[in-house]
Amino acid sequence: MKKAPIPFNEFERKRALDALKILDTPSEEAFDQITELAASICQTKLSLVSLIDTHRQWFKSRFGLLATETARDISFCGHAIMGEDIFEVEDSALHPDFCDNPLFLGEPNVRFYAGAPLITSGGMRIGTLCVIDSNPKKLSELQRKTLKSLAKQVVALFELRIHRDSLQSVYSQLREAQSIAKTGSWQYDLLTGEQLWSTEHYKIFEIEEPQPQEKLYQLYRERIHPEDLPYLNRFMDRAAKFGEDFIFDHRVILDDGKRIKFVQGIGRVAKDSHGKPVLVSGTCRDKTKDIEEENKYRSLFEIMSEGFVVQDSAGRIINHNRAALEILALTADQLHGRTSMDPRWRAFKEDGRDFPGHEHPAMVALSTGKPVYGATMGLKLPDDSSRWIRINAVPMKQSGESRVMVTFTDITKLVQAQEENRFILDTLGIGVWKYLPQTQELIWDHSMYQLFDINPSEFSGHYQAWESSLTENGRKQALEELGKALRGEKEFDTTFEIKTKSGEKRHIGGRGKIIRDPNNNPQVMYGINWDRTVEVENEIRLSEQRVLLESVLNNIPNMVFVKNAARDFSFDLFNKAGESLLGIPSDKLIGKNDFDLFPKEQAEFFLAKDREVFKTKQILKIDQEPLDTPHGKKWLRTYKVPTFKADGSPDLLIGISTDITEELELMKALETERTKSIQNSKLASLGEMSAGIAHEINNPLAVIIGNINLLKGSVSNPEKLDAKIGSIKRSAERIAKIVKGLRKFSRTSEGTIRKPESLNALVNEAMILTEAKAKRSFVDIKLDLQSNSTILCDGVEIEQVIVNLVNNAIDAVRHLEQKWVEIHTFEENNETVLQIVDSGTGIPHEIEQKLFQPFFTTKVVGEGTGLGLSISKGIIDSHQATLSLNKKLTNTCFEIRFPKLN
Amino acid sequence: MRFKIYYLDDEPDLLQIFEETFQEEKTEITTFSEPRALIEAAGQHPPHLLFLDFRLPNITGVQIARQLDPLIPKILVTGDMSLPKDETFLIQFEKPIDAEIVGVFIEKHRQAFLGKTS
Repeated sequence: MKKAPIPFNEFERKRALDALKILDTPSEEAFDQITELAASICQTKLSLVSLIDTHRQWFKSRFGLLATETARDISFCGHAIMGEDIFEVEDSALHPDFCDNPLFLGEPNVRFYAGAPLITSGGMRIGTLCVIDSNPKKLSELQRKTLKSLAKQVVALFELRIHRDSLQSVYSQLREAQSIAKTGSWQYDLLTGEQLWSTEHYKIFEIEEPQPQEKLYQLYRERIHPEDLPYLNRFMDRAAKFGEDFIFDHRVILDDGKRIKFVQGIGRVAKDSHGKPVLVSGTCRDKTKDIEEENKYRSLFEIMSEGFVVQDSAGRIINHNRAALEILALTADQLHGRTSMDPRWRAFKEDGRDFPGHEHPAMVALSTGKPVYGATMGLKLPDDSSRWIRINAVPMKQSGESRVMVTFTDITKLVQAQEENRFILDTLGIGVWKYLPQTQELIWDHSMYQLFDINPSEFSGHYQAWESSLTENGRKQALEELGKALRGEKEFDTTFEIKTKSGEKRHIGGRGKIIRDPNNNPQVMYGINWDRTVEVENEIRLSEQRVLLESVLNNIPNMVFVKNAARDFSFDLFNKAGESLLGIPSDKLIGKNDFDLFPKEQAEFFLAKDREVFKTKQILKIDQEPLDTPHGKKWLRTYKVPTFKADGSPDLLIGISTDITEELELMKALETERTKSIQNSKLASLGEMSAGIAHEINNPLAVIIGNINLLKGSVSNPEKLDAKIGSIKRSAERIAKIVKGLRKFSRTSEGTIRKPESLNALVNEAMILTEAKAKRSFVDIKLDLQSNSTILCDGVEIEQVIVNLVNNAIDAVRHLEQKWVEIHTFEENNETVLQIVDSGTGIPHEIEQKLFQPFFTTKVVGEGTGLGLSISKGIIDSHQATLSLNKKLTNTCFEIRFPKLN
Repeated sequence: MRFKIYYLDDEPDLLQIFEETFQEEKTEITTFSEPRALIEAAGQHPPHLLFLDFRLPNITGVQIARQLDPLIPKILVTGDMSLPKDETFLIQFEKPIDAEIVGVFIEKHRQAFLGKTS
């Protein structure tokens, strides 16, 4: 047997075979159809597509055979691949090379074999299409030609298959790439209007794939946003006319406008050999996510409250956000291109000095290449208001250029609040300090230096600086309190004394809070100090004043007491005068109330008055109140003063009582004296009037006596007798009237008992006594009594006043040419008025002042006591009436006005 | 010629009593309650005795006496006991007058007058 030979180009041949990727692949109908066709045409039992591998022959298709492969060396095909034409063995039994071939001797009993080599386009013979039969045979010429062309077909199929496979792989890779990139591809034939879309293109437009051309065109245009459609038309138009490429950013409307995609289409135009545009192909990309992302960042950038600007290497602002414009109060035009060095910023530092442009954080970041954080800058805005900003500047590279990104926050309010706080603390003179107990470091604010009168440059920043400013007293106090605070025994809250370098002593209030670490060790202490000197001095002064007040309170003779009106009106305070009046020491009085100290009836009286004070909310004067004391019954005049709490509720009742017992006794004595003096004055008037009155009596007496003498001679004449007796009677009655008047007048007043009396009657009675004097002085007395009122009075006293005034009037006019006295009574303004007018021309001004003074008189010695008017005035005053000189009349007029009796 | 007595007083009862008490034969008593009437009468027919009350409305007996002929003997009759003596008057009688004494006084003067004329 002749083994199948190995061709000289076996290596290339094998590579060509492998490249077809056909070995060990499943059977395929296309090949099976060819083998069936070959067997049918060649009228053989078997037909195979055999591929010669290194050590075997493998059958891609086998018609009439079960085996899939056989060894190469025994194969017929291994021989067949050695030539380009058909290799034919008409009868293996007769062939020296194959008569002992196992494939002839055994199954499949190859008696006849004809194989057409499978020659690749590269000229490699990779296998055969062969026909086999168990009977000897010879192919006709047609059969041979057919077998050869079928073999070519097989190779073509192989090669097509491999092309298809590689195409498929490229296509699927493209699909995948498009899907990942969200990029579709498309073609548009400008001549036919035909368009070709990739799967991803369909996906982007969310159109089901595939679609017929017309439908696709319609769906596509429906999905383009109507506003973007004119651009598409124009782009396509220009592509067709001028071969212009384009980028078409447009919106795709989906779900009836509920959803929008942002899509970018890129078109490239292909031209024919004459330069005429024929095809537009390109991509389309879904940029929705990018745009949303960008929008998100853009909007974040826009809505953030921090200002943001980008400055170029020269410091020019090249980008900004909305907040930047607001904070800087500039328009975009004003801001854009401005540098940090621009004088229009009018920047200043916290201490008020100018903020030079080259110190601007942006410029610093640019020049050093390092970021600057937290710089504070003040700006004068165009409206001259000030704004404070805190600036961060971060340098960066952008497309090779130096840039600085600057963010800034409006901290105007913060600074203002700090300034306000600072101002408040300064105004209040409150210093703020921080103390680190572990390092004994002490940090002071500006007010602290003023409080301690230490120059900041001289301040060591050590605890010692504080301690050394304390006076001896201050040190004792402050260090003890500080120790307690640090040990956690109590809060630091004290006042200590310091001595400034000028020697001035100050009282400093101090309060502090301690922050502790987890081991409860003091970590840091914050606190405030303020000047309490005035306060402390006031406290001292107050305590001195309190001592003074107590001394005053305890030395005044009035009883002063304070009752607690918020509780049960128990006593809170009693002064010394009160103690000695009640005969009870103060400590036994405090906390007690009236019921504890006085009989029930008295206590009830006091309590009722106390309540009244708070009901009326006014100072109550109790003119007389009795009080039983160890010194006997005392009379008090008491003022009760209510005080109220801030909420208006009763607080304290302050009582001031004066012992008026002696005063009352004195008043009683005075009253007695007064009555006596009135009586005396009356007697003096009587004395004055007695001569006149005697004359008045003597006249009727003369009549009586004369008539009595004549009675004897009249006995015989009854008519005459009657006349005499009548005359005697009249005269006696006249005397009786005078005597009655005298008796009434001379009677001692009954005191304060007042009765209603007719004023006119009183005038008439007074006339009885004054008539005689008037007659003696040839003074004409005229009565004009209009009033018919009664007045509540002591008739005797009022009559005395009238007599006094009329007598005075008579005395005043007796030496004048015109001598008259008029007495008027009338009602006016709800008063009952008595006027005594005389023919005099008034009282000289200098006398008028002294008129009502006791012992003042214009009469010669012996004619008057000088007490008349002053006593009259006293009487009238005690009747709540007024006695005055009425100067409206040209004549002298004394006027008494009585309150009208209801 | 009858013995003429004038009496001035503002109290009509007293004039009546005076007239009745001292009415005598050969004595003519004329009473006046008006000073002016008296002054007129005394000027034309001066009396032999003139009794004047002291306290009169708007005038005193003393004032009237001083206007009359000083030769007319004048007697002041008064209820006011505190009056000082006045040279114008021959004598002063206090009210109420004692009729007996005044009667004797008048009688003495009448007899003297009658003795002179008879």
